[in-house]
Amino acid sequence: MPSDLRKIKAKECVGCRICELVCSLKHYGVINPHRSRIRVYRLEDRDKIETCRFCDDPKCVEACPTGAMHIEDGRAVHDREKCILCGACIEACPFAGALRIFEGELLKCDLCGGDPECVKYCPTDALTLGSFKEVKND
Amino acid sequence: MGRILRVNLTTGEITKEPLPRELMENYIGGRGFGIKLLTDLLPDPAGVDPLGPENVLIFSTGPLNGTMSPSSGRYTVTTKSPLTGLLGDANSGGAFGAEIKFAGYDVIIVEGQASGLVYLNIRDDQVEILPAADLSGKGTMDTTDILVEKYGRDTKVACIGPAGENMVFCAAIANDKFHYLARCAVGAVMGSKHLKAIAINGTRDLKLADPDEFLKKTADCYRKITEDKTYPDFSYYGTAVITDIAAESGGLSTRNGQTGVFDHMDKYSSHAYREDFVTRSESCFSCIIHCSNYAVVEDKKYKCAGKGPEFETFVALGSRPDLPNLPPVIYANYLCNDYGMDTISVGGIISFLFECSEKGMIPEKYEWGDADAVIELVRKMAFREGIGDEMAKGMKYLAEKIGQGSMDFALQTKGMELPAYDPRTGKGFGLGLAVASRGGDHLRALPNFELLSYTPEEGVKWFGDPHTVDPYAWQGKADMVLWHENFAAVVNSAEMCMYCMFATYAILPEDMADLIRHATGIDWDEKKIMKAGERILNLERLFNVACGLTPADDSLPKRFLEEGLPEGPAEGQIVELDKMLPRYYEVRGWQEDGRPTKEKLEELGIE
Repeated sequence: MPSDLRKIKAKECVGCRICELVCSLKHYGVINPHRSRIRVYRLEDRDKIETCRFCDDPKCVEACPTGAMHIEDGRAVHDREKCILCGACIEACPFAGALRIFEGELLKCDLCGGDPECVKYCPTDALTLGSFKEVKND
Repeated sequence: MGRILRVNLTTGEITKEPLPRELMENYIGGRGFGIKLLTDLLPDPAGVDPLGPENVLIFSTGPLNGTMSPSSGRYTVTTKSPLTGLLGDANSGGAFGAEIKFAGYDVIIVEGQASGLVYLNIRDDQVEILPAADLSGKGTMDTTDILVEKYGRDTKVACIGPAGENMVFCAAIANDKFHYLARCAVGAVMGSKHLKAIAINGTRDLKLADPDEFLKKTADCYRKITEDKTYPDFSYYGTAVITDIAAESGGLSTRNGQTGVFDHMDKYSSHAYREDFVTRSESCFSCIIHCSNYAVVEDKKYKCAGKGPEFETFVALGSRPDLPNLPPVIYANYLCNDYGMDTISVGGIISFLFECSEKGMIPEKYEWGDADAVIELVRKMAFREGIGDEMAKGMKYLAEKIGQGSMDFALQTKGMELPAYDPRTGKGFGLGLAVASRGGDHLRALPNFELLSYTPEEGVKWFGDPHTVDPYAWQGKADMVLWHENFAAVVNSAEMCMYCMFATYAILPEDMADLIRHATGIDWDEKKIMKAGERILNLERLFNVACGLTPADDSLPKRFLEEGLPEGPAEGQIVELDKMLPRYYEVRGWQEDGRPTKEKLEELGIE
């Protein structure tokens, strides 16, 4: 796992959704927000970012019956081969929308292996890379 | 590849057709698709009643919609306008355009007329026409909330409010709650079709011809935009910065254009607005500029919260009727948004009426600066009550009815109310307004080049004339406007936001050609794409001529042509339109009767 984790400052998000586009392009070679592992929803007067928070104590791993969701370097990682799409991780996750199933695949952020596209293209400070220990999401 | 969705509201027939490749190769997308399809669907437009079932309403996207290309969240609606009787099109941001693409369509054509109020529900391939009786009379904000609640938060909604249902001639179509296809009364056409809303939700993949090159070019454009000196202010204050610029140049249209010097700039400055009312910046789909603002007014009388006014609205509902404070302006903007009306037209008509009252031409008594009257007239227009019923027919109609020389200060061209910036402080801007193919509008040309303090050498380099950098000069402006018009047609057809090009010149035709080539695989280059822009302009011209337009319609109100600005930095300035028009026709390749020459049409491959 990367030594830097993504820092999310929802207040800085302006709702451009470029993160969704670059995420799906990176992982699937096509643009489709529904395939993105990060989603942004415009609420009345703010934008809500939904993606994996890389919890210290990931409930998704605890809930996973097959070991598809497992720990690597202290953070939750998803193994598609072992996943049976039961949705237990989605139910266990405290962050609504962070994990989703689209077209027979569980979507979970993998930080692009350490150099996340969403952070690269975010035009504000909503998504930045923070040092592993400093990460405090709001 | 692409698809056109056709919905006939008379017969209920729903069809999906492939998008012809030659349409993409000749007309790019968006606005270009709009005029080409409109021309094909209405071969004899003069006989078409804009509010009759024979008119069509075309929602079109461009090759960059749905992608991460900078500021590519726009889309266009094209129709025959009931306000002007000519080409009507309107362009809006938000996320609706992208969602059309994600649902697997490039264009949605709405034809016919439903027997009762309906809405369209589109979920990828599934398309249904459903009764909308429950939504009748509802504002755009409630309508949007109800449909998003019903179909889920991935749903995007375009809808009309009461003004559209009442077929007011400045009715807009709202999308994503706070974005508007405002101009040309496209909302009245939607109302005439008894179509309250379109709810759309798409889950399809969007494929790029060359993803790596496209992303590289996109990143290059992001850099160009963010490195421009205007970026920090524009991304923080939004279009409110233009209020400052207009005030500085003495062109902040005040008291219906009687002067360009406004006494209340301390309250209207971008800084004052931002600090006092704006709670956050918002972005349209795939836009790094995020110039939109969410504004909150606490004042009990004008309490509202939503997308705040843009520069155009600060003038139309603020300085033109001479309101001294912003809260009623923001509130009137909020009402126009919810009723679904074009603030430029609404504010223009109200200010015109104020001046008619000042001059004793009408029995009604209005005073400059009367915020209550502005708000009351906004309501009356939307619901066509009393004098509002007459106002709802447009400024030109009103001036013809009032007579007494009121047409001289009716700020409209081709029947459409003119935008904010006073053309006497930018002569190319004035020419652009006079010849704009959708009636009195600034976004057809937007020749800001003359305002941005370029050097005379740069003027020569770009447009062959050092005068093009002098806002008060008329020389060289025809050639300059022509280039801007052709480029704007490219940008509007690609469906990118004009800010990236016309406020900064950061993104140029070659950049557009690169972006669209990498997205579509169509072999665009700078020359070809500007030729396509010119083709679009000329097809629009042909449509307008077929609707009855003559060269006499390429004009401006007498106020701008003969009345010098009375004070300020631009004191004494008028628009020397007669000096610019002949050259404009010449470089356009247009005849004295206003039609493009045979040679020009042949050169452009227009039959």
